[in-house]
Amino acid sequence: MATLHRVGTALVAFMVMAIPSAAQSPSETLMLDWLALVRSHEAGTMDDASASASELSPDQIDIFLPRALESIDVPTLKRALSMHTDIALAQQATLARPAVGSRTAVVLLDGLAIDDIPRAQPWRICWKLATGLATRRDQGPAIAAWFRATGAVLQQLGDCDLLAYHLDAGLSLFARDAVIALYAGTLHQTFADARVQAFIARRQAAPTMPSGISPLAQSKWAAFEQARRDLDRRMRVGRDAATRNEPQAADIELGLARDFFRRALQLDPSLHETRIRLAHVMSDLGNHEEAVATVKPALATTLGPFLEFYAAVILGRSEEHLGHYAAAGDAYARAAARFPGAQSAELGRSRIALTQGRADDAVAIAVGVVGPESPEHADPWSSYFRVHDPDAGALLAAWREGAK
Amino acid sequence: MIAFRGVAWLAVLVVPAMLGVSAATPQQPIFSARVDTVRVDVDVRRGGRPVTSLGAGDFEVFDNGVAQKVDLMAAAAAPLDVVIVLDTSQSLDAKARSHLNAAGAAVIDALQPGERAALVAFSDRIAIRSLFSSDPTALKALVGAPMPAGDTAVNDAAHAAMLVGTAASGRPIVILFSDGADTTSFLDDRAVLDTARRTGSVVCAVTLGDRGGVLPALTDLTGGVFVKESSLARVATRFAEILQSFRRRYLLSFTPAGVAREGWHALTVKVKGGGEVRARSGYWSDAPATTR
Repeated sequence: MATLHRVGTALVAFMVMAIPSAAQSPSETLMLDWLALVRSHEAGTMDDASASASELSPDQIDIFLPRALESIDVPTLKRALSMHTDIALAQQATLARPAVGSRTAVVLLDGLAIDDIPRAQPWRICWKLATGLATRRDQGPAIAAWFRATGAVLQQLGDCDLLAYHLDAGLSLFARDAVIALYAGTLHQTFADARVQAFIARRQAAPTMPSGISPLAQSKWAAFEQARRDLDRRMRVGRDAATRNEPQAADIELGLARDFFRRALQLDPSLHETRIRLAHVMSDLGNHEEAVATVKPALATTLGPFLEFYAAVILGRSEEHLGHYAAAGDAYARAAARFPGAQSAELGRSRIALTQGRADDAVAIAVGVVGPESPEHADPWSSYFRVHDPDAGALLAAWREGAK
Repeated sequence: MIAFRGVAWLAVLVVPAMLGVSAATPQQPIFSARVDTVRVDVDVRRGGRPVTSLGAGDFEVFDNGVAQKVDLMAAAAAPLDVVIVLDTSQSLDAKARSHLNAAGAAVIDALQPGERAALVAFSDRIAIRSLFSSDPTALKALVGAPMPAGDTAVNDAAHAAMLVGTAASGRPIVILFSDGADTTSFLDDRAVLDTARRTGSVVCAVTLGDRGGVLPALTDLTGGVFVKESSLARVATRFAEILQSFRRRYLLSFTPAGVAREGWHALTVKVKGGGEVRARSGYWSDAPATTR
């Protein structure tokens, strides 16, 4: 009780409902208070209840959580998972300094660590709740859906570190879930990306802290170096090559991505996003024939705009590698039709015009999309590592609806 | 721990504010200059020092292994058309960008009568800010125009710059600065090198540090130079040196004879009496006419 007394006036109403009896232990009291917050929380919001619950440290919740997982009914536990998910997402969305349990993550842009973000570990509670719920009768599908929805959110946020732990937890419970395997492949694909590899290379190139820098810069330096070490551990197989700044570090991650995508495709051949990402990885690994064969069936179906765009530009690039310029041009044109003016597709079109001896057209296409008078257009290629289909928002909304 | 903030964030938050950058001089570019004559810029050095007194008879040029009859063109007959390409990505801070702006302005200031410049800026987005223009005031105003910071798409920028170079009426040279680490281009190295084979620009690049990506291969293929620099404050000097060095080059021309027109033509340029020769390693010819 003592802990929750400090969390503010919003809690008064709940405390009235949870006045401890003489027989209640402190942990029981804490759990009752927590349950009151859970029951009053409105899913998808950061309301008073979730704000109050966010003041609890993971260690405090650990005191009663095992008992709660054994004794509390499934609907309430699902509401608890929903509330702690909202807390976790709210802290990430605002990049707010949390009250308790700070960790640090670095923010990468252009392969450069530009900031470090202090944050709590509310996901730790989410994972424990999800794991406990997964053992309850008939709850597997709902919890798998939670891992998928929140996994898509973390990919959208670009939080590779949390996503890695998240997917490890998800795969340990749902090894035969095609979507979680797809997301794991996407994470390794992200690790192979030049921006992550450039960060590692930069840290390796400057392994010692320069003298004479400010205490603030020193703290950032330490945080960035810790992030590099964490990433090394996370990448495991690719670590040795990565620390030597060798290109095969990226190839090893691409290989891991390929294996996850192939497994996902075996589990669910109708998962078109898997085909598209597998084709991309095969293209990056130099196997353009397999890339073309993999992605073509996806393009023969009805796809959402982003997936159709990605499938088309990935097909275009592989066809171009194979010297199939007409097919490549058709693919790029399809992508450009989906997102008119998208820089990636238009540069692809300009390449094909050049290879077909139409230099005038090549220049006109490029000037048309990036020239002095050309308007700005969205390019989905820049969001490739952020987007899953269905998108994170839809998955999360569906899960919340099911958890009510 | 890594929170990977990709380009999408900046695209959403910053790019819309940067719309409306316009050309220095609106012009109708000449996109095609198909000729039957091949022109090759050649740099000759002995002991690292430029050799400037050679005549046409001192050169031997082989097109796909077949010796060609070579003429030496006067530089005045083909003034320089310079495409300046500047990196504005996140990995370069405001101070670094001010050095780059100064470097771009230095090139514009060094243009001689009849010479022109075009301007390309890039982060993850490519912006051809100006096609070839001979208006230094307008060009310099565009050098410093704001550009959103983002990831580094040097491959895409190089491709766009070489396409701009095809509109040159003179000798096209691309002078590019980047920190060298491509992190986000759509076009891969192979595609950029292929663009270089199919267009006529000589590409010269200045980078920071050792990570040049495709740039060493690109400059080598096109007969340009690749300069690794450790100080951004010296980039302007390096740009000026590249321009000055280019003016000392020989401009050879020949009409291909004894070789098939279509396809890739490997070029070998030699100097009688020896010397270090730098020239593009070949050119691409589409049927039926021979391009540069």
